[in-house]
Amino acid sequence: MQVAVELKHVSKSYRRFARLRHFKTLKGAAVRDLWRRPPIPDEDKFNVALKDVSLNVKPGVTAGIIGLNASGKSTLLRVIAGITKPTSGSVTVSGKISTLLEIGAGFHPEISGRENVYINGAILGLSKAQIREQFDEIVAFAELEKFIDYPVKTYSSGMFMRLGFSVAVNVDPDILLIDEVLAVGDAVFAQKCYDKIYDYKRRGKTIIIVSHDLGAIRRLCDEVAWLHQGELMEYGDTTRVVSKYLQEVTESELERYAREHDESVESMASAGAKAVEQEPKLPYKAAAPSRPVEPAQRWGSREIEITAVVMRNEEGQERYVFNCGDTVFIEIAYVAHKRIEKPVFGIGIFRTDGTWCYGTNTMIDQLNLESADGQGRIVMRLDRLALLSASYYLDVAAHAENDHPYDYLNRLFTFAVRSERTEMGVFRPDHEWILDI
Amino acid sequence: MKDSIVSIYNHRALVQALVSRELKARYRSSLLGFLWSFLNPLLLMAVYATVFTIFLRFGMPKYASFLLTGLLPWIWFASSINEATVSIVSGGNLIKKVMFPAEVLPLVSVLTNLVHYLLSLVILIPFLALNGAPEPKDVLGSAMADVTASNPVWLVVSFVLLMLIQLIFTYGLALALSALTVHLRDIQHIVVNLMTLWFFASPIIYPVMQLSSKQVPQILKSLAIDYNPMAYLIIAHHKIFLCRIAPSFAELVVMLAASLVILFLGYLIFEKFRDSFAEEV
Repeated sequence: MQVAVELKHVSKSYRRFARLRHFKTLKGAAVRDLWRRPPIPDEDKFNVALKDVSLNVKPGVTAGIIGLNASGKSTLLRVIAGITKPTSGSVTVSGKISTLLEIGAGFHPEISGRENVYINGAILGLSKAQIREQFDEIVAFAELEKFIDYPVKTYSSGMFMRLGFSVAVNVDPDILLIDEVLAVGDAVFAQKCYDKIYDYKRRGKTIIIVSHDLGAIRRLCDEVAWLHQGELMEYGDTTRVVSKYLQEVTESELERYAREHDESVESMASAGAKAVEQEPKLPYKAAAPSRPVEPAQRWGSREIEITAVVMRNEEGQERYVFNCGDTVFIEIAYVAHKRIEKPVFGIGIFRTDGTWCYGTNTMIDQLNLESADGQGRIVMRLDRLALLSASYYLDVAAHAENDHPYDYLNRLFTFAVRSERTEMGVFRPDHEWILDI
Repeated sequence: MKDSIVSIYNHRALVQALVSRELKARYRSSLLGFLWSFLNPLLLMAVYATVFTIFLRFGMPKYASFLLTGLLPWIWFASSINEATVSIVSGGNLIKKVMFPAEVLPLVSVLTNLVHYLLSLVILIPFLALNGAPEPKDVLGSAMADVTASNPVWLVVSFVLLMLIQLIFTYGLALALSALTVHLRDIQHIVVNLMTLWFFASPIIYPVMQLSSKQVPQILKSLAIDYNPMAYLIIAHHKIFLCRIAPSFAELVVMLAASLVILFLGYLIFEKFRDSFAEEV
């Protein structure tokens, strides 16, 4: 069987320390001998990036490599490209290979775009004549006709990337390796890049792509390799491997968020204990401090104490990872240590970058609670969680109508929303497209 | 070794592109641009000439001519080594992200400075014509006083060979230092200072017979003259440009052989570390 790229039992481990006695400097090397420190054990010395990976990519196949961060994806590409040698195993590549691991490799800021095209082309293996032949096409593709004779340092980062990408895609290899560089420039340019890659596909070139963008992987790739901690978990048909990967990732993410929630509950308890210690129960009318109690993310006078916050899906199962559009229940259990008139319960949703996505409370929603006394529970039902894929904080609070806080839980709970669509922004309003003929 | 030579030949377009990148980038956005290739060695010569004729009263007629002749090949050598030592470390992106023959990087440093050297020769010849050259006996000692000038053709040919020898020697040393620096970054600082010592130990600011005085210990004399490749190269420059005496064929063969040995050793060191570059830079 003919193959374009063949890997046989490839392993790769990196040294964590420099070869010369794991010290980067002469002084370090000298000092070590003086003090006779115990040697570093072998397992700490090496960082295993690939473990016994065997893989065949047939000519004309577009193969994707997926996996979590630090799963060995980029190392695999570098081993195929011959940039690094595997520690053991063998790599066979038949055909001219070109890499798109870095955009604009060797660009010098002081010299013009025109001169940089020639240098970058030479670095990528093009002859001067080849570049001259394709020069106009490269510049047109990058849409930089007006700027090509200005020094590259005057370019915006988008212009820089566009020029780099244009040179790189005009190299005409048999095998093209791409590492997470598809998202270059604006949407229009990104589409041009995809078109170029489809063009490669049509001409029967072999392409190997590393990407976190599963949508792109699905569209482009015939086969997918899934790496996990340096091991090849699965290689084969795109749909099968991607859905298997997603399932696994979702499960591990569920576990992680459930774990984080447990930790939040613990810290909620300890934060609560601390807060109570600092603020002996005050009579209701007395002014309680409303500043946050450092370092706990919880404050308030605690006439009403929030005892649990749980998020559930439509079936009532406890969940902290949702899909965009899911129905979500936020359950707040509380105990009122005395009868409180007109309590207000509220929630706030913040993206982890601090963006305040949504906030409301029972007063805003005109649910006028008469009173609270003893244990109770209040549930908020979100019919459609319209947030886009990201991680979020959930704030929960019980306070009086005059904003006096009883119990405020700030940034204690996290949840995630996942979406396979690649929409941009914060939320997803219900929408449809209407073709006006 | 053969593979490496073939690889460099195959990447000649790349070498050319990178050399022209360095040349273009060096003086870009400076007012005088390429003139600095001429001005820099002239200014350095002026500094030393001032120090040694006015302050230290070095009694050689036409001292500036003598100084400039030795200074130019030294600048080529020293700049090449200083730049090549860090060439792989600073070219990290290329080594890590592109399939890139690493031996090209130190070569680019040496060749870029060769171009500057060739340009600076354009000022050396008119300078010598205008300023005049010192007497051969002042340059090489009284033994050489009555040697007759060589055939001009052989003078040119031997000078070209001399540049080739210096190129090979410099590249050999550059290969070794650039590879070692990847693993031990201290080398770049050591090299800069050693180059200064090497400069003063070579017969550039003083004629070689200065060292024959009795105050200099024999071992230092040997180190500075007999075991110093740059001393051979610079004395050969003095002979060609100031005295119009070509080095003998035997001298050239010995120098060529020695520089090839250095190149081979440098190559061995480079090969030993080559596979680790992508991980260490």
